[in-house]
Amino acid sequence: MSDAEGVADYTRLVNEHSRSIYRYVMRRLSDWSSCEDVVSDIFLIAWRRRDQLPPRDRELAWLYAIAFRVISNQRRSRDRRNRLTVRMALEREGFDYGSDDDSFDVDSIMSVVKYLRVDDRVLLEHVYWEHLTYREIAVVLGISANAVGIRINRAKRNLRLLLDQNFERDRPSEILDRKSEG
Amino acid sequence: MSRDPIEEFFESLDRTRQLSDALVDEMFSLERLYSQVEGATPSPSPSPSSSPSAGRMGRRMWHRGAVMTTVAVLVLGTAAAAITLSRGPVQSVANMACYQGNSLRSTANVVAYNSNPLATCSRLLHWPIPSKKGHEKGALCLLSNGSLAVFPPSSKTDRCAILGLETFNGHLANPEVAKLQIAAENYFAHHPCESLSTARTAMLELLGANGLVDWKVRLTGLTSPQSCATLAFQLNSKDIDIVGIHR
Repeated sequence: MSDAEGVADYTRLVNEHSRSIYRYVMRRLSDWSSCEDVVSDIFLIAWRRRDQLPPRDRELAWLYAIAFRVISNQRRSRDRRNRLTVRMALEREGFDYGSDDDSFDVDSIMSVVKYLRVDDRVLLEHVYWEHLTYREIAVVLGISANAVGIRINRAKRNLRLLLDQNFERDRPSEILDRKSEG
Repeated sequence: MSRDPIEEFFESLDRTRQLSDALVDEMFSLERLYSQVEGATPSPSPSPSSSPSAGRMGRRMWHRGAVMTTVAVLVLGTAAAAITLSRGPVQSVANMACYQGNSLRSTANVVAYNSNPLATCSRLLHWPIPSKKGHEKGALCLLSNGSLAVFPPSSKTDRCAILGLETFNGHLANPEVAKLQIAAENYFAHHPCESLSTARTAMLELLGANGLVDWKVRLTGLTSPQSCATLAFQLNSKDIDIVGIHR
């Protein structure tokens, strides 16, 4: 592939997928002001690896895989910095929502999140937020599609148990609706 | 039929569910990304397809929002001539950017828009005064978000086209909307942490005062009482987004 073709492909990649990548990052970072830097890092890595660009139907999963690693690295370095803070109790689980954002600070939901395994949550986020197929999730997480299928079934089972315990009376959306009305 | 509780659970936790694509576009600057990509590119090689030229070319393509084919790249000279003729009005007067050099990579100071941008940027950045005999002129270009980019005096011509930007044609696309934007920006400059409801009321009053009856005010982002209201204009859909952010 010539450099001109690489540039043209990269331009199309950015135009087509920058919104999806931005949302992917925003869903996972509490500090929205850092999202732009993280997204830039992701596309800079994509630029450096533009000679490895997969076929078009697999481009987005390829970008998500880069994003997943950039966010994971960022969390790891931040966790090292903040190990002694109380807030780390949640963040060590990899869950990262601002403590002063009360639209998510709903005890019932947070208690589920706290007890949900990190691996389970990461898998289910890709299913329910990005609507990826098992094969695409396998690309993002670097595991086999079979393993993804098995782990997602297990993760759903675990989460259903937690939800049944925590939402016997109310569904998550009803709790959030009441919160926003109040 | 009842919904899957797991789907509902994750939807509840999705912080972006109320964000429109337009708002996402506002929050993520492609210009900055392209500048960074160009900055991250290795030093020029003797090859005609070396990275800096690829960066400029790429930026032009990005700003046009179009994907050029390789064939189009090969006839870049012709394309550049066409781009030179491209002129347009300022769409957004939320602010303007004074650049310190003739590159989108150079440091930009974002300042309030006004009707004498060259003088404002010149004062701010202490640009040398162009000689009367010289041909140096500041360049007024349009960024992809419709706002003005101001570049320092230079004898080079077609600088906007070289940067892949439209040249400012000296007009505002919509003076009433510009007036609204300036008033709204002014309001938020004086109310840095207003509540969402108060900011919404103020914006509705501004819309009424400017006779913009087909505009709407939307609340998005964080909705907690502790959040601060910030402003985003959606010029195409005629929306003012009041976005709640962390205090």
